Amino acid sequence: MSEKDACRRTRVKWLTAAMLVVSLTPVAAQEQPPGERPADLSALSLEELSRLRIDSVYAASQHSQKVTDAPSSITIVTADDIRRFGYRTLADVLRSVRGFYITNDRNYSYLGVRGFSRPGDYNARVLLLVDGHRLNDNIFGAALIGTEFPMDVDLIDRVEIIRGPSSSLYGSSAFFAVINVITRHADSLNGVEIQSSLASFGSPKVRASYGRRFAAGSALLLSATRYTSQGERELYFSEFDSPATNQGIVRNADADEYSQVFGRFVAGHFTIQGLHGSRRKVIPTASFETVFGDPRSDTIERQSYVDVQYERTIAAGWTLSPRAFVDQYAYDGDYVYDYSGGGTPLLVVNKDFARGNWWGTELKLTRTFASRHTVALGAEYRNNFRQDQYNYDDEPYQSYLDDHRSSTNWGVYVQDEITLRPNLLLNLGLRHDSYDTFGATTNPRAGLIYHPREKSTIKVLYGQAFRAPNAYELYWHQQDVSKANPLLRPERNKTAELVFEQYVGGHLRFAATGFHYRTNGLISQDTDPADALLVYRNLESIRATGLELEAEGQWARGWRTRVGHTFERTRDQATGLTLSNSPAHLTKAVLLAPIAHDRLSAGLELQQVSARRTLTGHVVPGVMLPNLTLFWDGVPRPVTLSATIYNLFNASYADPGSEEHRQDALRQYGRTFRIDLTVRFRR
Amino acid sequence: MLPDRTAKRGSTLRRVAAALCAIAIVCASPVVRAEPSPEYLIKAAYLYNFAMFVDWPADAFSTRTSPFVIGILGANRFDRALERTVADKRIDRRPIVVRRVDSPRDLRHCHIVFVSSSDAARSAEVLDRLDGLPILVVGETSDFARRGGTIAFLIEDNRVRFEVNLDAARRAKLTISAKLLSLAKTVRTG
Repeated sequence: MSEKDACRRTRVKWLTAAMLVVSLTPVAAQEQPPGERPADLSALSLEELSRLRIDSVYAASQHSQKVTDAPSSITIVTADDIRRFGYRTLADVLRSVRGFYITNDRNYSYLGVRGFSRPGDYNARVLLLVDGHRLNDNIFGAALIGTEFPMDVDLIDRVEIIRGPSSSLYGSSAFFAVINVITRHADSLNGVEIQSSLASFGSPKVRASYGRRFAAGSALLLSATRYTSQGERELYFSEFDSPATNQGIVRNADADEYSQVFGRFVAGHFTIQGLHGSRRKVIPTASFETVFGDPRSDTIERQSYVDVQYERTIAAGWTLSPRAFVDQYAYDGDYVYDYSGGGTPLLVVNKDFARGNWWGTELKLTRTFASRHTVALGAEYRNNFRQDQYNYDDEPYQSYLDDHRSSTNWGVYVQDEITLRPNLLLNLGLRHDSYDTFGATTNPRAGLIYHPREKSTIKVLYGQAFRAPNAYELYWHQQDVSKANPLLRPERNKTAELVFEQYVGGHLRFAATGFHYRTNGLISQDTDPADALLVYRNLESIRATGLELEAEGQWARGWRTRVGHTFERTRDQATGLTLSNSPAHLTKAVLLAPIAHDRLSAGLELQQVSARRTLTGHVVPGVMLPNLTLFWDGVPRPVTLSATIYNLFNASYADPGSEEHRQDALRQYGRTFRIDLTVRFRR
Repeated sequence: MLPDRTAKRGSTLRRVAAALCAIAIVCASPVVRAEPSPEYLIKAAYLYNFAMFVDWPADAFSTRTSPFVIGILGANRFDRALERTVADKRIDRRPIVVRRVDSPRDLRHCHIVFVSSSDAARSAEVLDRLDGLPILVVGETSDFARRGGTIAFLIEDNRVRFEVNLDAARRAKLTISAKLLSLAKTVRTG
């Protein structure tokens, strides 16, 4: 056989593989009537087989299924993507997917989903799970995704991003999206792994991980990470450009540091998992009218949990999985104020903090009946035995808030995935939740998933979601400033979505998704005319309509590209205006170019956000940000090396500020870099 | 200030969505047969590779030309992908036959047994019954190899990988090639 023939043969093999796998609904050769000609992957070598991607998702229906069969619009980001595109945080992962964007206020990262990014919501309208464990806390309902996310992204095996409402399975917070982070298996380490990276502004990160499967079959994974960053040495805010505030210049007040530990032990049917993360960020923006440039203003977030899970298939084909967990969340904010009112400064540290503790238990049963029904039944109970909020001045001591609460809630759900015909699936789900704060709510979801042809998928989806008012919105109050509102109702969202996916020529995929959201009773802060106090109320009704288009290609030898565009329009029913921080256009593009097979690759990423309105009605211009990563895998040597440049052309851009900022818009980082070295010591 | 054209654009978008819907429905043809998922296409190809990269003792076959038998226990998620994968292929001149098996008792004449996750509850019984016989027992639950199965499929990083239990292979008098072992996610002894 000539070299050319061999080459062609390899190409044919790869195209066959790409056709079969990329298309997800694998196909017989085109000219043949279906079922006549064998379609298989037997021509592939073992190495090639081990490299093929299968796109399956767990959290959409709480059982493993093909992405094209799930009742949602889904994106999967894998560990390989995280390495080859240089993602540093979960926020980096999320900003790379269609319809999502990130706003950073130099303290927290806020996730925008399809045009919704409400000021100060700490991502409470997105459910964040780690291996199915809910991370949203019981004070703010926050989903922390930046450096404040309590887990190292390099311990992630994959992230499932499920758009649309999923309250029919998960209850509160599964409002705009569910993000399920799946952690790496102990086997993927099989020894010790040391990672060290260095980034702009003197930002080293060190991670040490150990994974081992023991002879008895139990498996252990332990990992610890430490990251410190000086942040930008000098920042300038024109809003503070006066002699009293150092001409708007703030120095050495952008530091960021975190420490994290993660562990998992699997023995028999039991899995015990726990994590602890602590992050401290100095606030350079003088938010909440604090003293400009005082580096003592900072916030510390600490989050930890222990989760025990049991899973086994019991008689009659039922899979039984109970789970129990204990969680802790602590927030400590130091805010430096000047009480002098001009003249000699009188600096006082105001301590704002919250303590949340909860435990809970879940029980889930799944079974497939006669290959036609896949049924999931579940129940969940949560006991928030501590939801405390405090606020006081340090010296001289004065307390403003000392609020102690506890609450419970429970939910039951049922879901049935019915195979009506071989090419037609009906997914029905319903969940009932009961809270001792506002009462009960029931939320359905229905999805009809149709494969009219081998390479086409049409999904017609409808779902309702709710978000329970959180302890902060219900109870935070301060004399003469704000008052509590224990009568808050849950927010509601009704979503209709139409998804169309088409595979062309085997290696190309096109997807179009149209969506319409009707959200009512969104909780926001308002002034009560009766007493002029700030109070949270169920106020806003918002309509959002949008269209997402995406094209994806995979070719032989690892070439990969994905281009997606989201058009969206949001409208506040009361004012008739587009929401603040709601871009009309979002573009995402990635290109992975193998330079030397899997060993050396270049990953180029482009993220475009169009102009956004700020809270004061001004506009921050749109921006296009390219990131470039070179990734080298030293196989068979156990070393990987990567180098990334973020914001390649040093574009100057800003994100809209929030109510607590005097700045209307906050300038973001210019060009930054990171280099990363990971070494494995296999047993 | 952004001019407010929300209402108008909203209805345009709705129209585009409706048009897409119409196109989708026009494209639609009534019926198509069920297809196995990529996961099972890949697993089918792996099973064929296992047959090639493992050596069975001569007494595992009654004659020189008797077929190589792959048995599937439990729900057949391969649909017909496994049959298609091995059709017209041979292992040492032996044709390959795929059999659905309902009872662990009928497994003795197989060379590879695939235990579907739907039958994971019976895997202890199956492994017990097949212990010491020259049969490559392949499962797809995470603890399958640890519990004495020869090979277990794992899903990792959205890819299908596998784990090998060398002790189980030794007891079954199977010789696993170094190539197969080198691609295993983990190789355990015991």
